[in-house]
Amino acid sequence: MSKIEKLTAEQEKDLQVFYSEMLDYGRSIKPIDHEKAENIITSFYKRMGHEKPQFMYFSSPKAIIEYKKKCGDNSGVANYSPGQQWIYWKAFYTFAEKIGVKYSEEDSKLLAEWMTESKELHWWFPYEKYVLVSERPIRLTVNEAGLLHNEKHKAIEYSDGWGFYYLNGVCVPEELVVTDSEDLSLDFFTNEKNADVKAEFVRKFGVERMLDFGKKVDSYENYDNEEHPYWHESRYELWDMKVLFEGLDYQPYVKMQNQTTEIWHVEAVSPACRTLKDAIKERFGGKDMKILNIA
Amino acid sequence: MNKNEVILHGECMVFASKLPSNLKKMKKKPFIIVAPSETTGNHHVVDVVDGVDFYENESGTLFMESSVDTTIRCVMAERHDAITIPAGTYEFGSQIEYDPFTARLQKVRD
Repeated sequence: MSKIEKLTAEQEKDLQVFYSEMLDYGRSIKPIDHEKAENIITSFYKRMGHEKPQFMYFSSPKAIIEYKKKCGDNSGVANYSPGQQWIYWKAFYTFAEKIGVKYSEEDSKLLAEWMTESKELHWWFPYEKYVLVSERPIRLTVNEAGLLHNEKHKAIEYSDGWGFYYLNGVCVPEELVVTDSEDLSLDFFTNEKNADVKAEFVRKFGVERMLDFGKKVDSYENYDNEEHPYWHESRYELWDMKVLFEGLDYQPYVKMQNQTTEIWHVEAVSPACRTLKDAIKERFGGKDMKILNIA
Repeated sequence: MNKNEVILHGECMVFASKLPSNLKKMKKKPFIIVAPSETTGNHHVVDVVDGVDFYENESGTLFMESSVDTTIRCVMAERHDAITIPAGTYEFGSQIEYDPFTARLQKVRD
């Protein structure tokens, strides 16, 4: 069998359709059909010489973990299949088969069963005589880039209320999602430790509005573009944001733009940094380094 | 890449280095996480193609020796574009930020 080096135009088109179909299954919040779920899991049990197990349904994977704990099983997220959330590898091998890669009859049949498993199930935890099955989430929302995102609610939420808040793929505290931009407090920014969460705060709060509270100390415009082209591209600036901290005379922050997403980051440097040059050197661990490339 | 030059991939720094002694060679994997992301899982990774070897020192600092070009990228490309790292010997680090509450410098976390 020769290696497939290139897809035909038709296969390329099929791939797009197949990819989109697989994404829909991966993100599906359609309630699980218990009869179909039990049939597919039972077929796996029978393959291994076991009888049909008993099925117990739970509102979320979290509810299963809690039930396991109550039963004295503290293994947490172990011995499980996340069903639809692992459809990616089944999609990979299934598409390869669609375009002509040959598997043994047995492997092909088994792959088809696993594909059905991903289409019909969310998380499930098998035991010898019973299976703990989680229902699907009741909400799963993404942004245009396909990243988990919701500006009002949890981006992924189950019927028991368990879930996570996400903005542009970043898991963030509830407060950042449910608080209107005009009501957000800068205390959130100063207390947050995570750079991506802080960047999402800046995106929601508005970088100009935030820096209105401060005073510009230094800017990329004061440095030679040829010597520091990436300082210019990232539009590095140094701002005194002492207003955020009671009792401080000076608290510098570096403002810079992510070259890929164009979102703004505003990150603190020590009060020893009086110029942008000092600040960038400090961020590089005290080394004077020239940026060769940035993303 | 010259000494005193750096590639920035988000908070991750890549700079030319020599391999210090007492390094432990890392097991071959398709890619190595050079800066983990705790909130997105969108780690910064380097592709370990043939000709690329990774080493780790006792404090967990990563070094790479490569006879071919390789790539630093994110698991999901949306947050940072991929950058080619030319063949050479490199050390990986993280940019530093200041915590005004504790008055301490610390690695940037994302």
